[in-house]
Amino acid sequence: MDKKAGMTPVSQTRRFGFADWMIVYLVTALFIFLSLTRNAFFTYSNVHSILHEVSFNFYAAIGFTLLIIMGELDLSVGSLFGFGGAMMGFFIFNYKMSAPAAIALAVAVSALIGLAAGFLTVKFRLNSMMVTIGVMMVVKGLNWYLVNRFSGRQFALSARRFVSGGIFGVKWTIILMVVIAVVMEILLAKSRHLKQLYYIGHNADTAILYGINAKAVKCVCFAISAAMSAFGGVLMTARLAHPNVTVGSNLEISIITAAVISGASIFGGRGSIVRTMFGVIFVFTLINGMTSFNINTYVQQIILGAILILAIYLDIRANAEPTGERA
Amino acid sequence: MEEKPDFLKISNISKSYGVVKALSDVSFSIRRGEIHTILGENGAGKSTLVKIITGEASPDQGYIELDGARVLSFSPRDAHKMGIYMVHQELAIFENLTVAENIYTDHSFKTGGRIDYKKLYEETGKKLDMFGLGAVAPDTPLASLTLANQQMIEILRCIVAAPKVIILDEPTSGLNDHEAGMLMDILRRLKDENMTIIYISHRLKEIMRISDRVTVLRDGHFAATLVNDEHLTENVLINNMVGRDLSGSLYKIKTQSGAQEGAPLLEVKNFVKKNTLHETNFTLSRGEVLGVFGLEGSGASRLSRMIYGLERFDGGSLSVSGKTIPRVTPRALVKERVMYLNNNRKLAGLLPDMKVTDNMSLPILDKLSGKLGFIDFKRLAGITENFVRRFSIVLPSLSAKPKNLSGGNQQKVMLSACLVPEPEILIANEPTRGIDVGAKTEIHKFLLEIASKGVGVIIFSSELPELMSLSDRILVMRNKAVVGEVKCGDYTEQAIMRHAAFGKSPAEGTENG
Amino acid sequence: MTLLKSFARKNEFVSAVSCVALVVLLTVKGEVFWTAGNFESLQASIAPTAIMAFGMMALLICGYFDLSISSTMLLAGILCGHLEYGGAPIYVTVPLVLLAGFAVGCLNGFLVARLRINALIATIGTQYIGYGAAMLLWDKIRGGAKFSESFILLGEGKMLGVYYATWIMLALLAFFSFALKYTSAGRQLYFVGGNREASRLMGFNDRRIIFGAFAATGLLASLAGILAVARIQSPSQYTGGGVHMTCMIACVVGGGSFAGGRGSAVGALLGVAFMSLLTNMFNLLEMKPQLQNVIIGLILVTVIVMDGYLNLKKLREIGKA
Repeated sequence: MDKKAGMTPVSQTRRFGFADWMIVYLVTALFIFLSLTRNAFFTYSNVHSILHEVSFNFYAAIGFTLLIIMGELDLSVGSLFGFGGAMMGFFIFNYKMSAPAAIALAVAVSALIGLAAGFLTVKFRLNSMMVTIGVMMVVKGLNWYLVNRFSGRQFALSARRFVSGGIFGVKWTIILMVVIAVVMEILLAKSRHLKQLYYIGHNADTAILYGINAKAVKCVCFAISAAMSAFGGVLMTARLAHPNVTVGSNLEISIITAAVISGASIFGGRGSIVRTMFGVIFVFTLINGMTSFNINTYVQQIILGAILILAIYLDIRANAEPTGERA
Repeated sequence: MEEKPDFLKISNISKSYGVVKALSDVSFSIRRGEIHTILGENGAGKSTLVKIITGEASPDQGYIELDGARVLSFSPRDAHKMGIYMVHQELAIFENLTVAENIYTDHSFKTGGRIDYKKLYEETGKKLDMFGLGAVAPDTPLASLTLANQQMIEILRCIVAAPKVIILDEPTSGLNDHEAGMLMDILRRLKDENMTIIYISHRLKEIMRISDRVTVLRDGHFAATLVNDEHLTENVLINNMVGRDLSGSLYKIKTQSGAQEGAPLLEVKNFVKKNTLHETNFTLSRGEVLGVFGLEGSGASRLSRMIYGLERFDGGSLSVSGKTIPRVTPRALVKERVMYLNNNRKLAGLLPDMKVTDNMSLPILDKLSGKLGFIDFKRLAGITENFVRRFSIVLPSLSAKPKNLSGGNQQKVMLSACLVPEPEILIANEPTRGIDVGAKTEIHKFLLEIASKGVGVIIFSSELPELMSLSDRILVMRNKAVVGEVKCGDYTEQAIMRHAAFGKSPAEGTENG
Repeated sequence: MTLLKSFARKNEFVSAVSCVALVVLLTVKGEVFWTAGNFESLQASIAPTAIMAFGMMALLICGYFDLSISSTMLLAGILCGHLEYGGAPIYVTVPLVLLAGFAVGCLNGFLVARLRINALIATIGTQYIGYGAAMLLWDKIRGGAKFSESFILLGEGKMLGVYYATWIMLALLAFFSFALKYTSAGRQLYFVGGNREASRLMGFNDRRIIFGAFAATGLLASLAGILAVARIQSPSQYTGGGVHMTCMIACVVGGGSFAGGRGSAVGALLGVAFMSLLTNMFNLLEMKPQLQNVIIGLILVTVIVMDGYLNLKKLREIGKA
């Protein structure tokens, strides 16, 4: 009765992020706040070192973003981040491999793990969160096992120096982060391989109807997510000079938060790599800032958990179907 | 037979959904203690009418009178209070629980707050006995019952609430003849207890057997209320259901087949699925429009999904242009230039929140992009513009989103997306569902146009006039099997409807009665 | 024979058989299994976990789960420390800590039932927050003394040679078995989990039911925390580590399903017993704890896949796949 003649009922979904580039304003505001209140914050070396750390974690957020665009969540990124570094150590210490070979192998093994998780998810139509939480448990156990086997041993200088290299005083990992973000952003908008992720995320059934192989695409993205997480973890571990069990712990929380506050939706169809990058910058700068205010790490954890729940709640408010239980 | 008093009166009810008029000015009345059937083709307005009676929808105009009192707007809960209960076609059952709990969902039998299972099972057992289900133990999990018995259990749940009016929507669609016969017995008994029963079905035999009176709806209009006496025959019912005036310009019955000679374009061989589809074979020629007609539950829609690989089937093969498709999936078929126009654009077929150009690019992503995979947006815009012009789609701009368009234009966008890859075969499932007459005519025109260019088209539709005006040949399905074929030139609504209503389906056992 | 057959159809069957198999294996493999010491350590690991598993099972029945029970258990143990060291008597400590657990459960219920946040993310979030809060409080009592005698008695005390904790667990088993079978509230969990839409049609308040299950789970997690720290005589930062996973696996092994609608209190107990016996065997085989985690993770993945496969099969039958 409330419909005017000439208009037909159409689906009522509203999809909307926090105004698209809100995350950039948030990051800017955070930077301004910290610059004004902390003397040591806005110095080249401090900002540079924050970005250096962000870059490792950003690599783990790439595949995560691709997956969230398709409405899948990968909770195993943190554990694979740690496991990548542990494997690198394992291959170097136990098999006397060269650093590049060890890194390549670690990344490849992780990709296989991601592929397996993706395969199970699409084959049996499982909830990806459930599957990846299982993967997380397995990988965490393996990680722990490996790290304990060579605790105390350090990588040779040659196997870790490469992380701090750079051009014009900027670390190469930061440059690579920006390059990946920009290139992938362009590909997401213009190439058929990545653009189809949005189609799948908006309505996978429609995409399948018109011949898109949604299952294969999802599997590949799970593999990318795992491989890039391991890659980030390898770099982080190399910088620390030795494998450590705490590497990557709870990273998945930071990344979900980063992705959702930067405008991705857990319902799929939204998300951008550049914005995710800003999201990761936001989260890690926030942690850095809280530390500089001597806020206890546990309080930081409470704050991050609260931000996660708030971000997801706002996403649901904005994007969930008005009726029914999608979240 | 004594005249029973009117109990439920439907007065001048109209209801529209957007431009689609579901009911216009329908009036009739139902008497206390009668079995009153509402009959009509799919889309005749039965379900809308039932929704209005159960309070799930409110009429734009008109009102309902219950027992002499006018009820204006009421919720399903109010309907329950007034004693109106409905058994939905989609079962509202709990497969994980026992028969007894599915009947007495409110746990009526308690002693001191503790559920008294002994009493519950006893009472359930009595009710089951009473309705000829004595063989079912009250503590059986519902999941282990047949569909038919599950349906009976849901009906029993309504009955134990002691309703005044009970509405059954296609209650026999999942039942075999024996089970349906048992249900009939139960309904007769309820009638003797002065319960009013509104019965919705297309099974004419059943209707003749059980109803006191039959109200026929046709295209949202009241057609007739017929008393089930010796004068009522199945032909009378069919004539009332389909008695349209087809002399208007909208539907011109096709008399000459446009199918081209030569090897078949598509061949469906021995398609079969347990409990869903009996062995099915047919072919499609170049330039042919093949219609498939079936009433609800005939399996036509599911057959269309199986051909396109959207639903699994147990056996059979599909060949396109003489080539057998090894694994039938949408992707494999798109590669063979077969496209599928979905029947429900809200569920799948459109990306309502993405630009029209994005929608159009979906099936041709690989053709639009070069070696590096970059999409040629200029070409895409050109193609889209072409279709917008060709199908006169009304758009504010190419970057408009389908969700903001009217149903007719949405349907045209969806059809365009299917035609962008220049398919050789188009499978159209309900191609004009829920759109206005203007858009409908246009879509009919487009379908005939592509067929004349040599494209093979299969139309699955529950609208007879649509099929008769488009098809070169109509396959009629009933009870999970193709039961008849009517050739162009022999079309009459009666002939086709007779197949759909009585066609002998190999999927069923002996008919009794 | 028919009795056997009907048991084989029951959901608890798998876990019961697995438990028996493990007991046989343990008896054959190791001499330590049938000793009083081992029996006590089994009780200590089964009782608190099973108490939480009852709550987790109630959640699974209505189609949800809670990953924050581990941090709630930890928080409860540490709160006990604070109150005990502050000199609070046991009859103050226990109710207050239970109340805290209940509050966490209510928060989860609010987030999931009211705000409709995905249960997994909501409870990961509260787990994260709860862990942070617990560790914050832990820093203040690190290296504290033992609990008071009366509080330790809660963990060490025995009746008829069996720990109080085990008695409490058995009492809860009886309570949940009764509630899930004989009360309307208990049955409504099955209705909601079996077919949520239809349960609304039947007039059930699905949100209130889900909220209740979360609140109860929080309460039980804090009870488990109290019993666990009373047993080791002082608060610990390691209480409850990974117990959310153990509970979830135990419940699914014991006949629950992520799809909802199935499960029983006995099944939860059997599932927990299975997990504890498994750990017992790992220890007997001197398997490293890290590798134990790997195996438990693999079991979780297997359980998820099996559960998902059964659901997919159902979908295929009705033509949705």
